[in-house]
Amino acid sequence: MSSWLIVIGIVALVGGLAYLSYRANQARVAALRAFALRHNLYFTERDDSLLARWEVFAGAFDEGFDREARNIVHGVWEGRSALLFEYRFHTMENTTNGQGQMTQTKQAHDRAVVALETGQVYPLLSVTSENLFSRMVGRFTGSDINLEWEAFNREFTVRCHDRRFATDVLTQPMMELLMREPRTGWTLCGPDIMLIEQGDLDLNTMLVTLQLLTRSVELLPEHVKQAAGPSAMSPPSVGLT
Amino acid sequence: MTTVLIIVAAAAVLVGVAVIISYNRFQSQRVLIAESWKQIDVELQRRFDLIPNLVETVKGYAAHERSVFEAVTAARTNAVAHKGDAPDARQEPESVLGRALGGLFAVAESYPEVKASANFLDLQKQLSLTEDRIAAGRRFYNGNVRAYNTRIRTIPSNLVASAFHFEPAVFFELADPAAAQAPSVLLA
Repeated sequence: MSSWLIVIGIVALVGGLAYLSYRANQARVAALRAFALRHNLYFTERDDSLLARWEVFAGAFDEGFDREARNIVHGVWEGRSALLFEYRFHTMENTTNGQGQMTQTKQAHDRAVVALETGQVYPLLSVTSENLFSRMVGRFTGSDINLEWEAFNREFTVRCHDRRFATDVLTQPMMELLMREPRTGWTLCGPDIMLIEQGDLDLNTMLVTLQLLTRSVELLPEHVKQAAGPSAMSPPSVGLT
Repeated sequence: MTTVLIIVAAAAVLVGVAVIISYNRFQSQRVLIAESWKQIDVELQRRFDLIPNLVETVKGYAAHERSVFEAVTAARTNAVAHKGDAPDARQEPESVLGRALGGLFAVAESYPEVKASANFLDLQKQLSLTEDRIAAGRRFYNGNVRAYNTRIRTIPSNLVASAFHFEPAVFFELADPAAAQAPSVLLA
């Protein structure tokens, strides 16, 4: 009798947690819809096809398989196409059980993406928050690009195949802007500038991120824009497929 | 005894590999510095090419400002004469040219007809972009020089530098900050 009670208790607990998680997600989706409405943007629950936008620009969305784009807020932000969405990809992870047998499990990885169209197409350039591991890797491989501001070098990891391009983009005003929001950084990828963070979209920081990206595009030097030339890519079309 | 010999041999191989890696990195840094200098050189040449047209355009509206035109022409001639020189020898003539161009733009500012001229505006825009590219190229070049010089002066790469006589490279600085600054122009 008591074992039945335990089973019923566990089922009820799991069910309750699942329900609470469902409600929390519904509330978050509603908040994202409200955010979109407030800023004259649109909301689409899911459109994986938008990831094709970055297919030819290797780097930002290469990892894993079964890639999904959910909770998409899109539209025009200060004259530029903006895309905010939750990106999920999967990888196969090896795990070893108690008997020493290796099994593979499908692991989901969630990222929050805020992207803004720049009007040009640029090579991949990432400026990410520096941590001890990335600093060690950078030192060892010599892949980090160091600029003339030591504090900036300590705060951020800069990666780009074209060192000259990275130096041209990361001018003193651009570095100062990034230093004001050290948690952030961004990635220039093809036609867009974007911030990719772990987890889901955070309503508290979305606006700040959009403003940071807008200001960053404004700070791109004119000669860099001229060298890149105008983007022939059309703005992202979400929910049309 | 054999173990000691193996350890010594392994250590010698490791040191040898480290020296080779360090040496190659010095060489590639030198190539990078030379390449980044060439990029500046291209932009400086572009500036030389734009100046005669700019002078002629302003002269068309303000012919009596002869001293300004002469100063720009003389500075350009002097800078062109130093074209093949090392970066440190080019700093002064390029700075003088930058100052002379500043004078030319100051003259142009006081002539509304010049400022309204489409040809002048186009040349000014081109020159502004060229100055931006020179500034960016200078920054890139100096960054490469800084990285190279740092390795020459820090342990352990300084040992390789001194063994193979790698000399510090020179920075390219424009003496006058005003000359280093691009002329302000609204780009449409």
